[in-house]
Amino acid sequence: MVFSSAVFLLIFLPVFLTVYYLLPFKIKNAWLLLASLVFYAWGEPVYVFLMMGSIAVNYFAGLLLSRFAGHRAAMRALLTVSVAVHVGALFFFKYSDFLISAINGSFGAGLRLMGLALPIGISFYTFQALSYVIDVYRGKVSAQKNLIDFGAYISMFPQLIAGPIVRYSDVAARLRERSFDADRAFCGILRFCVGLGKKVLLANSLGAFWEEISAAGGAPAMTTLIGAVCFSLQIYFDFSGYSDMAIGIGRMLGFEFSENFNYPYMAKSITDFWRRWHISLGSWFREYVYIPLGGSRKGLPRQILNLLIVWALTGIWHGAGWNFLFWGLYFFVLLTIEKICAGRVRLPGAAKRIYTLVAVLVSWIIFATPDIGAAGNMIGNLFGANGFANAGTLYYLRNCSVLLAIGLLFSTNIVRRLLRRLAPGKAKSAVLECAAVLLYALSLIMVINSAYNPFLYFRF
Amino acid sequence: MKKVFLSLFIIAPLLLAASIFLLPDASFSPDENRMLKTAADIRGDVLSGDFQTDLEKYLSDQFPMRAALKSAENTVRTVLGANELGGAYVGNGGRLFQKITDEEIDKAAIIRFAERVESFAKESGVPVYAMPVPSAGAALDGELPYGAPFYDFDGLLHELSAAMPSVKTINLKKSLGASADNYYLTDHHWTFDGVLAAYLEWKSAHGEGQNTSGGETITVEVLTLCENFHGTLYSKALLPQTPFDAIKTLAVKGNIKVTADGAEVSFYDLSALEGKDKYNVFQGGNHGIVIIENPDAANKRTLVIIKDSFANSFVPMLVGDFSKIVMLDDRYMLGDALTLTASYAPDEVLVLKEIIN
Repeated sequence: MVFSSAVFLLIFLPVFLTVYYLLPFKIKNAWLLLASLVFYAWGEPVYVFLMMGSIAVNYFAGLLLSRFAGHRAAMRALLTVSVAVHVGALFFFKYSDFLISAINGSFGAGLRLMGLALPIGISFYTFQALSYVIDVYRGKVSAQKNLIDFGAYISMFPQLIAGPIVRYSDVAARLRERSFDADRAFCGILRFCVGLGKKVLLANSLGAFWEEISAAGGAPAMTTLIGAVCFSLQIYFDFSGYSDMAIGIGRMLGFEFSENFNYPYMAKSITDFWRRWHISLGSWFREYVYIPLGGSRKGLPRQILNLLIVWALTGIWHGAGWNFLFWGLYFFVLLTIEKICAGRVRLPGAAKRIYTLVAVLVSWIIFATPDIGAAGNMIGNLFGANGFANAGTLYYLRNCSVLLAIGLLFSTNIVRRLLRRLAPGKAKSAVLECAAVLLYALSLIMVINSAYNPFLYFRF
Repeated sequence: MKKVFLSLFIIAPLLLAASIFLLPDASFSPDENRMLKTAADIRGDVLSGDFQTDLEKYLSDQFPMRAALKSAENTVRTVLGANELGGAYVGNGGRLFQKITDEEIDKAAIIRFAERVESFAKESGVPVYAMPVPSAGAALDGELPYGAPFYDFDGLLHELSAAMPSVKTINLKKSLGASADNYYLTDHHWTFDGVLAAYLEWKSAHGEGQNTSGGETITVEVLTLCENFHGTLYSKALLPQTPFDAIKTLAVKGNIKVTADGAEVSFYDLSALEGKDKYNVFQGGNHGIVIIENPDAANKRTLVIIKDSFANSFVPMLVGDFSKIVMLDDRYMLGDALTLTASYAPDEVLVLKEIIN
């Protein structure tokens, strides 16, 4: 099930919340687990068993790890098995066809593709599960003894299919104990409505223009620019909108998930961008891959190798395709250059922002086009291979300039800064409530009316 | 206060959902001109995911006031600068155009069809005429929103006629583009004005008279069938205050007998004017095989038309010239129109379709 659907908005969420608030605390987690499994099964009726398997494997891995605490060899073996099972499942479902095509391509092997449907959200919940077993192994958290609480963590529907990647250590305490807090729930609703509006009103509308412009091909520079800006804003509002909705629902339930986006398009370098974009993924890779590999502690050449590994993995985490690998390596190159140049090159603030935005824009073209050839063509168009502009440019400008203006405004923190200036009180509450109701109502109307409601994470 | 807001956030959607389930379902949306999903249609299987899709569709389709909301949404979009709504361009003076871009056309299929027409013409020796109709946006390109992407009619027609040298291909773009009145404001078909302009081109291709750009005109007895027509494009754009079109046609004379797929139908099916899709007034809409017999025709000749819906409103112009007209529509029959053509022993064949079909 996706958040931007009539079934979720009109039935699932209100029914879930009503029962959730009425139940005594002791069984709230059981209800959360049950609802999450229904939520997942709604879109993936068969793969819900995979999810249950993942819960079981991790639960027992955690218990065994705590039973063998102190026996390094046994723990190491357990961790290896558990990580292998997870990474193996992820690899099997997500990358086997990619690997088979690569083998066929290089050796003409003619192997048959498996044609497996990718279980939605597998990359997100696999990473959550890994964080749990690794943290138990490291002694950072104690193993969860309650299967229901643990299942509720792994399958928790707010962040199940599009993140953020919530680490067990961040929610362990609240799984055990959390109280209803009207203020927090209220903030959660506002946050949810903002996220829904970002996804449905902005991302979907902008995405339609990107689809049209990218399908046409052979566009002049300015049209390509409009298209690429539309996609950049689409993926930001879509992804951060999902995270907002997840954080919002989390608050309604009494959880506090960490932030996943921090105005990434205001970044002044690519290094800065990745501290602001999909923060939970970046910190996951830092914590569980980069630092264990030695991070920056073993000299520059080793650090660069570590970065290469992390960014190749980050690339293919987003999808099993060469363009995603290339996309990750593109960032590796930029980040490495930035590391080497740090402190040696001084640029004015505006130049830094322009460099960052252009670099990110190009990265999205690599990300969004089906293959590297198509990406190359489009980047060529962006830099004028098909001329500067034509009548079509004016058409698109006229049709999406309002949307682009709103999108650009909300990709900065200007509105939030203005809202902060409002003194807290009744007036501010009223403004926020009206905004939330309006966003919710408009989004619902768009969900009802529109046939175009893409899900961008089906390859994650 | 915050608790009240929280309760509202839960109760309001539930009430909406309840109203959708409890109020009677509508099975048809006249404004959108399409069938709606009703509770009885939710039959799919949960494991295959069909049930989930059905339920989602049901909630959307039966949402209270959905057509009015869509209309309001589209009005706002227009105010914000949108020139395209649900696949329809809003052109000069609110004229609606079906949006068709080069990417949306199956050019290979069009050329393959042309090659089959060519081999029919070559092998049978029957005179074959082709009138590929330009879509409104191709003929009236000056009326489209400035810069709106649209397919390249000239290029396509050039390839098409090159693929069938034995066929006389008639280029309608200039005469249909001469006046915006040649197409409906709210429907993708041509008006009676457009039919007349095309008819003159057809005559001139037969060596009779000049075409419209040659200054030729024609005076016929006009029959106004209705003046409250909102066509297919209206249902896409759903803008309030869209003006109505009038459907006009030729007042045909004589004892015309029309058989559609074996059953007798009216040449002008006036009952269609009561329904939503009033263009169906012409022979009651599209059928696989329509046979029109006119014993009072000037010639005892048979014409086969390989057609789409554009031909339905054009055929009145021809019933005086042919004693038997067979209209074959590939999309509505099991067999294949071109294969079937020879069995009617035609004296002449006309391929009359919108070029993209």
